[in-house]
This record gives sequence, structure tokens and C-alpha cells, in this order.
Amino acid sequence: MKGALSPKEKIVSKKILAIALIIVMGVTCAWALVGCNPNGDSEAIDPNKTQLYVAVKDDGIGREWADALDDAFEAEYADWENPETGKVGIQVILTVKNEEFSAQNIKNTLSFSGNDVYFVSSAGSLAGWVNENLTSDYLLEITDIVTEKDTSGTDNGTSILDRMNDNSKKYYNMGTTEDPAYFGLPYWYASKGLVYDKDLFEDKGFYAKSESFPNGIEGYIGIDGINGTEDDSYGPDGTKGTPDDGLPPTWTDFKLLLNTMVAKGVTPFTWTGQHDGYFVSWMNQLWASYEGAEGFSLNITFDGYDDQFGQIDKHNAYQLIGQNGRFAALKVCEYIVNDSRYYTQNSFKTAHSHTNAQLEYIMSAVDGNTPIAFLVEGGWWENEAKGAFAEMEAVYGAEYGYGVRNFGLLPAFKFVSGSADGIDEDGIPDQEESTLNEFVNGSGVSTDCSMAFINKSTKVEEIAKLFLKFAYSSEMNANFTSITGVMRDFDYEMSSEQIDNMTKYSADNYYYCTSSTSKRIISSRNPILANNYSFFSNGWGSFITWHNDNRLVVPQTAFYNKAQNAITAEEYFEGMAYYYTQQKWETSLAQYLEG
Amino acid sequence: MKKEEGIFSRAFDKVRRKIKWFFYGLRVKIFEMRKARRQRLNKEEKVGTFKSKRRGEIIFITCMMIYPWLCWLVNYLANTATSVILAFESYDPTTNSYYISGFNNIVRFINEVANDPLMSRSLVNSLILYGVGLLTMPLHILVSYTIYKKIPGWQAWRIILFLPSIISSIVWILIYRYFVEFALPELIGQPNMPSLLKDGGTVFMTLLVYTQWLGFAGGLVLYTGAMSRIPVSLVEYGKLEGMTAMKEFYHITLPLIYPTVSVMLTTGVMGIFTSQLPAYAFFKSEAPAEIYSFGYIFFIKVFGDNASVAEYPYSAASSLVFTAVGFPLTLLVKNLLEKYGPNTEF
Repeated sequence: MKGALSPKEKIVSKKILAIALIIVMGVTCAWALVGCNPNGDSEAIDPNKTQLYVAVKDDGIGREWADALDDAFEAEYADWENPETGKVGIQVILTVKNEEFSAQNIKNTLSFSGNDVYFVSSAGSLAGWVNENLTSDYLLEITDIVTEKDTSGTDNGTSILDRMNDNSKKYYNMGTTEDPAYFGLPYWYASKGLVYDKDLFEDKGFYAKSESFPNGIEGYIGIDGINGTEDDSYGPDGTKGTPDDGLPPTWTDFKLLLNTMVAKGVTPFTWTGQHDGYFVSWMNQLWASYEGAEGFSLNITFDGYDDQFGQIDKHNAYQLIGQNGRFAALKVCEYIVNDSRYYTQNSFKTAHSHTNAQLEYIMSAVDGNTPIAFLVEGGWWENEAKGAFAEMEAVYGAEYGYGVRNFGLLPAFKFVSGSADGIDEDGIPDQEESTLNEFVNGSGVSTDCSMAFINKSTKVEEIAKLFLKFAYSSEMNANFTSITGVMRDFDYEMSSEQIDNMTKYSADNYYYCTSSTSKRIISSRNPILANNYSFFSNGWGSFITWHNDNRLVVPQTAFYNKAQNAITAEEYFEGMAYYYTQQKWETSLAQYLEG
Repeated sequence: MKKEEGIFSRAFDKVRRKIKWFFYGLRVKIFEMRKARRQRLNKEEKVGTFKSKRRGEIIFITCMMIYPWLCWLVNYLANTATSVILAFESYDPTTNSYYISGFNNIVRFINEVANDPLMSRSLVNSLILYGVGLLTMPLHILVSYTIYKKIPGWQAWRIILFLPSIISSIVWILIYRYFVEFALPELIGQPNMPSLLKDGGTVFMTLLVYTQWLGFAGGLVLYTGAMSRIPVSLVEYGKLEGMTAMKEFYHITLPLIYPTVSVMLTTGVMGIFTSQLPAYAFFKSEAPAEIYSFGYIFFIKVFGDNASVAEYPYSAASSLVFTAVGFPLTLLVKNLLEKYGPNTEF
């Protein structure tokens, strides 16, 4: 029949089809295999140099700092000769990822990842990486480079250990003071709290009335609790001439500010409705500010004196669930959430991600939009919002670009009522006077750590150690902060030029984190906390309650749904003790309470 | 002399004939031998071809199956074996290793289900999810039937229902989230209404609606596939007998797709312990307690921001308990369906 294939033709066409199918399937599989390149972004390998593979977890701070470190290190060691291969120079190959570099993923892939050095936030408990015999399947011991004194440059005569702050030494030193043992170094930390728009504050007169701001708000009471005294405009630290001047010193003053904002057509808050942890982090900040660094740290160490409960140890630490600081933070949350004028409607939408919240916040300055005063965010937010700033600059002009606008960090206000009985109208007792002059910042109640370390499987140990030591020099630490705006827990100076080059917000952050009143809360290796994650995940370090057979994990949502759930801050506070009664404490932690 | 010539010629003829017949017989025998040999060779050739062909097939199948077998051995058998062992272990964070701790995890699971209201709620939610699945199954079947019967607009309807399985679920989650939180309030004239996904009283129902809508595609494929195998002659016979569409559905379609339905019901039993709405996709590890189910609770114990290796043994133990409960339940459901269902084959 015309057009029909002959048997031979049929066989040939079948063979062609089979070969074509094999090629397609092969390409499809090869695509997946080629995609699995664990090392390096897309940098070509220089065969004349020795490679060092560095993995960085982004987490919002960007990769600019890592690129700068990469360039600086390569320049510094351009003449370094590999004694084994004779190659001159080092090529640093960066891999910057986010979700893929979780602690568990890294542990699972460390032996074959090919990465030599890691910078990881949320690495989990250090005890999960180094066992009690000070051996590790994951981490190379770096005590030698941590304790080695530099012999030149600005760090001459000091070691990384000398420059490390005490709190971090307590956490990262796996040995003793006399015989230290280090396997990792703190990566970075940032304050968490409120971002405020300084330009808006100036335009609308939201600062406290003073010589500098004659049109400011009248009626603040200041941390002495008395209206009409000098400290009304000194801010939460009660000291004149510091960046917090004009900001609301107390919770009473903050309420006045909120109402003033609303009266002037400004929406006070926006936050992400998708990630409830941001708002809870701010509540933790208020709780820590109320209790002070020492009082708050009891929740981590179970060892010390609490103004409310007296001497605390591991047997009676369950009482800390009733700290007044938690109650204060809950009352603040309830007050704000119960009045829908205080926040944007998007704040309670799960579609409102943290980047959407950033965009909504910075866009609110555009004419025609309702201005928003505060954004609940972390210290890395400006880096994360660089794309949004760039878009705004392209549409609305250079004055809306990154680093141009005036944002600031609003330090936590104090809880001082000025009332005779020391309890304010919300039922919050005044906080202790000794805590009034502290700016508390830190990671909250956690055994978690951020960590830079060297992979035990590295084949370029010498270079990896050189790199890590270089990365933690004062110069590089300062460079890191100037680029990212977040901090390293070391003692290092930033030049005035570097500070001038930082954004206003970053400069604020730097001031508060390095001022003499700054108190940092550091994670703890408390084995009771570290080994009972399940028990302590019921609200020990956050705000979880049990109410009417209902487990509520997010206070702002619990109060938002008040019409349906009818829960008050008092009920929420009471329910938090459900998980941490004496009986449950003694039953769940029995093996750790012996002795 | 003639008399003597006759004797010799007769003897000679006799001998000649004998020789002739001898050789003839020989030739016949040779011919028959050759014929038999040829037949034998032909037969062997055929058998040899068949054997080598079969060998080639076996080699091909083996090569093709090696990888799936390896995957099964590693991902299922080894995984299951280690999970069973893990169920009887606990985690020691000081040495980053597991040690045998007996039935602690199973006891803990039973205690928590009995005493922890969150686990009790998870059990209730899990049963509700299964129950809703059962209740909506008739709707899935009916919708599939309408498409099978090609009612007007069936092609558009089919595309709409299949779309969720074609487009990435993350896209649907985004669309649904924005629809529920931004579009729906405007549509119903309540722009300031609380988010249905934030409100503890509505979040479960909201996600249930999402799950049911997306779940149509899976059922559609199976049921329409089963319906399309129904012999046309039966359908035509039904038409000749004056059956309406619903009568046809009840008397012909349903009994004939019963095997598919019973498979869905049987395999759905274990879904009680694994289904989690799309809780993780919507909320990651921060889902509100109102939508907790067993599937979600034990998923976030081993995956995500709040996961911990210390929870692996407990999760493994819960799987054993689920198997111990779900296996007999599945068998029971299967036996009941076989016993009381229509016995049809075609």
C-alpha cells in the first residue's frame, strides 16, 4: 500500500525512536546530576591556586560581607605557597544558601560536602556537635588559632580569645578557663525589636517635647515616673545626649505616643502575619528589658537570684514562668492588638510575609499612603529589604534608596508607673530600679548558637585555619558590621568613616549593642535545657498557654480573636503555668534534679 | 546349454535383485535417517532460539529492575527496619547517639494521647479528616460520573477539576491564601473581617475546603478510569431497557467500579494517621493548634525548624503504634467490603 512502511523501515524507525528516547531520558537524568554541585556558586576553578571552599548561611544578612572577606583574604594571601603542591595563592569559593544550610542538613552532609569552612546561624546546641569528651565527628578543634596572639597589625598582641566577649567565652569554650577548647566561634547576632521612622517622627512631632523638639509630645513621665521632670525627654536609658532621646521612656509614655500617632493619621505598627515569631521576639525583648539581663538569664541558667522569687536553682526554676516581665509583655500585646487602629490589617494575614511587611512599611512614606511608624523586625532587615529599596528608588527617586532614609532602633521602654503602689493602670508592677539602665539584647531563652567552624573532613586544614583567623580579626569584624549592620560578639572598634557609611539604623544598632549599658543574653549549654527540648518547647522561652482545652501558641492571635476566644492577658498568663507546674517539672526532669 | 543358461541367469537375476533391493533399502534407510536428523535439527534450532530470546528478556528485565529494587531495599526495607529499631531507642545528646530504652517511647505515646489535650485534639482532627473524606467520596464519584457521561460542559469541568494536580501546590496555596484573606472579604463586603486562616475558629474549615477542592483530581482520574472500562454493550442494554442516568449509575456503574471504590476505602484507613491537611505548606512549623493532626505533629517533630533528632525515636514508636492499630483496621475494612459489597467482574 502506498505510504505504508516496509517491515525494514518499521524496524529502522523503531530503532530511531528508541535511541531518541534514551537520549532524552539520559539528558533528563544528567540534568539532575549536574545540578547537584555542592561546591561553589559558579566560579571557575583556578588550577594554579589552592582552593578553599566556604559555605555561608545567608539568613537575611546577604553575601556582600562574604564576598568582601573572600577578596580581602585572597589579596592578603596572594603569595602563600602550598608546601605540598607548590601552588601559589588561595582561591576562596563561596557557597551562599539559606534553607539548605540547616544544622541537620550540614551534619548529614559534612563528610562529603567538600566545604572546608562554615558560617551557620541556628546551628543548634553546641553539645550536639562536640561530645563531653571534647571529641567531634564534625568540627575541627581550633583552640590553637583562637588562643594564638597576633604579632602584627591592629590586633598585635591579642588573640581572638582576648577579643571575645565573656558571654560567648562561656558558651563556646568547651574546656576550662585554664585549658580552653574551642571548636567554633560566634557568627553574628542582632538586636530584635522595633524599627522606627526617624523622618516621620520629626515631621509629625512624635519625639518628646524638649529644647530640640519644641513641638514634641507633652505628658511623658520618664523613667522616674514623674511628669514634668527633665528625664521626660531622655528616652528609656534616662540619659541625655544618647540616640534614644525623645523616644518614649516608659510603657505609659508609649501608650500616649500610640494615641498621638493615631490622632495624626499615622498607623503605628505593621508586622508579618506569616511569621508570628517576629512579634513574639519583640515581646521577649520587653520581657528581658523588664527583668534585666540577670533576671532574664535565670530562665536559661537556673542559677541565681530573682527579685520576685528569691534564690533560684534547678529545683525551683519552674517558678520563673510567673515572672512579671512575661505578664508585662502580654499586657503590651493585648493593648496593641485590641485596638485595630494601632496596626495595619495586613498584620493579621498569613499572606503578609516578612518581606511584604518590609515593603508595606517603607512604601508607607510615599505620598498618598498612610504612614506607618513601626516595623517589628530584626537587625538584619535592611539587608533583606535591599531589593524593595531598589524598586522604590527606581520608581520614586534616590531619596527612597537603601541607606538614604532615616530609620532607627527603638529600644524597649521601661515599666514604670509613677503610682504610689508601684502598679500601673494595666496591673503591671514597676520593674526593679536596677534594671532601668540596661539595654538588653540577645537570643532569648535558647541553647542554640550561631557558629563559624572548620569541617573536620577538610583537606586544607592549614588554609582553613588561616582563613578563620583572618575572618575574626578586628578589621574583618568591623568590616562585617559595617556591611551587614549586625554584630559580632567581639571587642572591636569601628572607624568613624565606617560608622558614617553604615545606614542610620545600623549605626543605632551598633550604638545600642556596644554601649556601656548594653547587656547581652547569650545562649546556654545548660544540659537540662539542651536535653529536654520537648519539655521546654511548651512556652518556656516564648509565650504558649493552655486555655479551655486549647493550646494557644501566639499571644497576638489569641488577643486578636478575643471576640471569639474571649481570652485576656491575665488568663493567658495564668495558662502559661499549665506546662510548668512543680509536679510536671519534677516528673519530666527527674534525672537532672538529683543532687 | 539353454537349460544351463536359464539357471545361471535366474541365479544372477536373483542375486542382482537382492543386491539391488539391499542398496535400495540402504538408500531408504539413509533417506529416513537424514529426514529424521533434519527434523531433529529444525526442532533444536527452534528451541535454541526460544531459549536465547528468553535469556535476553530476563537480562533486560533484571537490568531495568535493579534500580527500583535497590530503591526499595534502601528507601523502604532498610528504612523500615531501622525505624522499628529506633522506636525502642532514646537519644543521648552528650554522645550524639541512640541507646536502647525499651518501650519508653510507646508508653510515652499512649500517655500523651490519654492525657495531653493537644494529642487528644490531634486524634479527633485526624478522625474528622478521615470522616470528611468518606462523606465527600460519593460527591467525587458523582462528579466523575457526570464527566464520564459527558454532560454539557464536561470538558471545561474536567479541566477545572484537573488543574490543581497540574499546577504546583505551592502556587495554589499562594492563590488560596490571597483569595481567602484579600479577595473574599471584598466579595462579601466585609473588608475588615479577621483572616479565616488566622482565626482559630475558622482555620480548620478553611483548610478542609482547600483540601477537598484539591482532592477532586485524584479521585477523578481513578473513578473515570474505572468507569471507562465498563462495556459499552451493558450501557446500551441499559438504554434499551429505558434506564435513566441515575438508574444506570446505581445499577451498572456503581457495582462495576466497586473494586476501585473498595481499594480507595481500604487504603484510606491509614490516612487517619498520616493526613495533615496542608498544614505544613501553609504554616510550616507554626500551625495553630486547632488544625493539629497526628500527621502534622509527627511531621514537624522530624522536619522543619522545630525538628530534633531527639524526637526521632518517639516518632518511630508512634508509627509502630499506628501500624498496630491501622493494620487490623485495614483488614477489617477490606473484609467487610468484600463480604457485603457486590461481587462483580468484567
